[in-house]
Amino acid sequence: MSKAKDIRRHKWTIDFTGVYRSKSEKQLVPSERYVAPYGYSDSQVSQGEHASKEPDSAIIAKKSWDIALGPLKQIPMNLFIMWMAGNSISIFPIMMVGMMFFRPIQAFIAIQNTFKMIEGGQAPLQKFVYLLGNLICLAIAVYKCHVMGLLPTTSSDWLAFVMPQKRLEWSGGGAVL
Amino acid sequence: MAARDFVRGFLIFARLCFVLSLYEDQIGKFDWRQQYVGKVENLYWEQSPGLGMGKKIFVSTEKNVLAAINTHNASIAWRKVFEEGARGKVDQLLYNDDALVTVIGGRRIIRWDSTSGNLIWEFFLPGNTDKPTTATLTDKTRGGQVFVLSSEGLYGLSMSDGSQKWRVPLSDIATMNYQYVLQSEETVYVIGIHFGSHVSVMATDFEGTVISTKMVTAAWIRENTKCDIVKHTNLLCYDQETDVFYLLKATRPDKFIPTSLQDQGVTRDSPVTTDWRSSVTSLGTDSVVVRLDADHLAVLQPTDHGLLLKKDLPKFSAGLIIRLDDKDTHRDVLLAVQKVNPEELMLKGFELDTGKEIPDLNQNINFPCSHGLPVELTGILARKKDGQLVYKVIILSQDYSIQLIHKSGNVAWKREEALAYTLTVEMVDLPVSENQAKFEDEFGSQEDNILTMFTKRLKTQISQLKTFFEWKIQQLQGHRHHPLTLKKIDEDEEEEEELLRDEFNLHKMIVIATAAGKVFGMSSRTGHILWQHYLPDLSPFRSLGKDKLLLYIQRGTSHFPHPPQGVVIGRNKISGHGHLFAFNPITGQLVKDMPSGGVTLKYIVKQAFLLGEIDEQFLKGVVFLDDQDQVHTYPESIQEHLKNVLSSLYIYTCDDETGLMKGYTVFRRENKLYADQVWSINLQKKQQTITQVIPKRTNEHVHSQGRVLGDRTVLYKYLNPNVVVVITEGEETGSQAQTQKGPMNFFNLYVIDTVIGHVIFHANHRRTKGPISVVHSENWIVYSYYSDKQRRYEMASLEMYEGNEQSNATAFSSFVAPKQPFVMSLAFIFPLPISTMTTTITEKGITNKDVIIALKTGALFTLPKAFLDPRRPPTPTQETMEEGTIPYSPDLPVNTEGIINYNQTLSNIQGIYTAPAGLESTSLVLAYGLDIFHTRVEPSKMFDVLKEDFEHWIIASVLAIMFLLSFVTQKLAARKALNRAWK
Repeated sequence: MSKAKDIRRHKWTIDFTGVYRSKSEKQLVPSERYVAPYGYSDSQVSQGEHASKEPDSAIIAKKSWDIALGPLKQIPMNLFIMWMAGNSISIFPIMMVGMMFFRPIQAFIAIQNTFKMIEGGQAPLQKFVYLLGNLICLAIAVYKCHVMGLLPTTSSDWLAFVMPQKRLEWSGGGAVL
Repeated sequence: MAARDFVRGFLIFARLCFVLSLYEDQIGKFDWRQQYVGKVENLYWEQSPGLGMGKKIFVSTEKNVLAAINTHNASIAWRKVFEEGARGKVDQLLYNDDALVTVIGGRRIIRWDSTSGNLIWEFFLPGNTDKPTTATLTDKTRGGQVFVLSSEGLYGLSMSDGSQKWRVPLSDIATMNYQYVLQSEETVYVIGIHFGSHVSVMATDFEGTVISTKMVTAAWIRENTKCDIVKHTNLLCYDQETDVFYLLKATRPDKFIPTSLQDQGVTRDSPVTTDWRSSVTSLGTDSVVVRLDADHLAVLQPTDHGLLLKKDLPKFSAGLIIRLDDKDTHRDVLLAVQKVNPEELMLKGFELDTGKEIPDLNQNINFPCSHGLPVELTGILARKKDGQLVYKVIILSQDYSIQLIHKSGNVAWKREEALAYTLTVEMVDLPVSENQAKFEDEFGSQEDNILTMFTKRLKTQISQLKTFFEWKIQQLQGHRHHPLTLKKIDEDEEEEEELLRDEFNLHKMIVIATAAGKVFGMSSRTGHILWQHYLPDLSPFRSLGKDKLLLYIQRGTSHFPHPPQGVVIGRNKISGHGHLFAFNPITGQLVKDMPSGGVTLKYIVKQAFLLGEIDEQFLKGVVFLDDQDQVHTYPESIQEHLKNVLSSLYIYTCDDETGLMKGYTVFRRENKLYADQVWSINLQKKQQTITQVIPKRTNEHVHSQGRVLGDRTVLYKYLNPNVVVVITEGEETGSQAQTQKGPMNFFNLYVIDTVIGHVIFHANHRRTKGPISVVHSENWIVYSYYSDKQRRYEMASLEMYEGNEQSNATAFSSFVAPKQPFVMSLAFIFPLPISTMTTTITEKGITNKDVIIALKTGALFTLPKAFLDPRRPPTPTQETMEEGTIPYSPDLPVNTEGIINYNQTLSNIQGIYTAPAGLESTSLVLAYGLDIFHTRVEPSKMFDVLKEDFEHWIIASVLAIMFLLSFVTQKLAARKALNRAWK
């Protein structure tokens, strides 16, 4: 490190911080020699408490809304992908459907963290919107599965579990021997 | 349009890929064929000079077969199978001077090449030939002619090319029955019989000039009088009523000379049995062997003064006279066989002139009682250079078997011709090994606590260890055995080993009941006969114009320690009552208290069937309905159990004589069971006759209760277990129909619920005729018929559905069942004639079904049921494609990959039996008729077993290499990372 210090103490170096100066010199003393640049005000700008906080919360709300509306914004895209993928069961549509399931589920898992990021007065509404968006995404994915015939919703899906009927009467015979 | 064709073609192609065909190296690996000829009627030894005598025998049989059998190994040198029925019947087989001539169907005279079986010439008799045709041959030295006697004339044919040389018309053809043609040195004699009045003898020379015609009165002669030609020119008749033999000399036809055997000093209990034959056993000799009873023979010699009794042979069952040509003299030798004990036969030789025994020829022959008694004996006799007599004898027995005996008394070979008369087949699982049975026992019982289970486990493992050591010790000891005994033991062991279930339960015991009254147990792997029983009193039932024997497996092998049990039910030959034989289908041993010939029941069996439920002994009872409507069971003890299920037991009968179908319930009164008629259906005997009644197989499992449609809804199957298909055939009696196009045949198909007598479905096919073969399985029926209108074979398919809802998902009762199922049907054209059909059956019923069709061409063809699906759409849509139905096309494809017996032609297939194997994908098939063929089929390919050519080694080595590589690369990567860190 000492080496680096030496290097920095180059003759061209202008030390603004005053690290290597003596203690008295360390303070940045406004010099009369230099004219303050335009727009520079020496006096401390007193900023009102309420004035500074107003835009902050707006930004937070905006940011939070961004997060909250994120899943909803994906929906048109998802719909488009779904439409493109078609209803046949092959590797790409399955991957698409998988992704569509994966994202909202991932979002649900990380929902605690996401909710921490959402602040502000509208937070409950935003949280609700976020949740809703993800639910809608999930619903779309489920619907896609349904359209593709991957959901066991019809009676035919349960046919394999239907037991054979028990025989109540026994009848035997045939042509007269 | 092109696109649609493409789709259709593709779909069909995709379907066809499911048909498993055989690779060349798989031939004979799991299929076998056995060829038979049937019950021998005529037999000749080959006498080709130069090649030596008796290399072959020529036989003609009851099954319309002409065959040559090699005498050194019993294989068939060549075989000709003629049409079924009277048209193909081999009326006569003649063999002389290496000329082999047959009379077939009463009007075809054919000469065959005796070495190859090729046809040399054929002569077709003109005119009507309802009456028998006979022929006789002359030697080459005497012009080489064939004299053929039909009911209308006597023909002289040239032996070399079959051309007609001359024809002599016969007189009085309306009243006379011309039955016998005889020849002497220069004369042909024709004997015609006018029943109850007289006999005429016409003599002509070899050029067709009539020399004389004489009448001989014979008022005793009847249609059932047995006559035969003896000593070339003598006609010997036997009048059963008076027990007198009559002899007529054709050379001097003055009168019949009567001879009574009583006068000759022959004593016997009963009159002569009707099945005596002499022509075969008296070739070229002066005397004739006449059978008086099943085990009583007499040797008679025709003389000028009537018959002379040369030798009385009581206790002998078959005899044969052979002329032995010594240097300058010739003498007649009589060989006769006698049953000395149940397992042995004594062959004795006699000098006929002196009546002395020839001790050289005496021999004991091993002859198990499963052959019954010997019926006929034919053979050849020769003198060796050292003066010793040697013979080869063929014994035909009551059970239709043929066996060749050498001089040493050893049976050289046997042919079980009874197998050509197979009527019913069952396949039985072989038992598991003792250890495996114990394992099953261990896990089978639910009540055991942990401790007993543990001790059981220990016990089984100890026994396993014990058997292992025993096996090891046996292996070590094996070398010390004497080679001969070792061989014998090996054979025994092999048998024992064979009778264990294999891994996939593909090896089964085939139990066969034959019309000859013989029951066989056969290994399905090799086709070897493992046990056999001959039941002399058993004859088949005659039902709907067909022979029928009932064979039921009452208890399988899975109920250790109870032995398996099977039962054969037929009719007693003499009394007509039921005849029953119970046995262990695996070992062939008789059930306790069962006599070796079976038991005769005390009633006439009208109907018999196997109960569906087992009793405490795991035995399924057999229920009999007698002609007095009383119900009996076998075993009797099952009646106690029957009490519990009486309310759900129903019986139905179909009577083709009255055209009535009747249903009964069973009730109990005073400890006896009676059947009470509850319904009847009149199938109009006047118009049609019942020809077939086809129930479903009771052991069939239906895995899927419905069918998934294109829109993913379910069409539930109508799975009524009590449904039978009844086929009736008839002729339409409309006047204008008959005048224009001849008789209009039709048939009806009824689907009937046998519990309540409800006709579920009825189909009528006009201008069609049988024979109709029907397959009835699950909820579908497939049947084939001949369409008179289109002149082609057609197949129709029916499927029955309950609809989109199942009325009762848990139980099926005919009383509350939907009355009218939803029936779909479709008809197809099948390009080839069909003899019979059946369907595959598998363990759980998951596998697709194939219809196995036996073609008249001798092929066994499997057709996937999907081709016979009534839901095949005329125009394919998205939905039908989703459902997987093939678009409808009227023609059913016959692709050669579907022929499961490849080039092994099967003649006259009478039936096909299918049985499930332990593998779900596999079904075992046995086709029987004149030949027997066994194979296995996989309708949905072998999805549950890796293929034989599965590359175990490549996959294992690839896996190993992958492991190795990942290990090595892991090491390498680690090292590299370390190096990088050091930099």
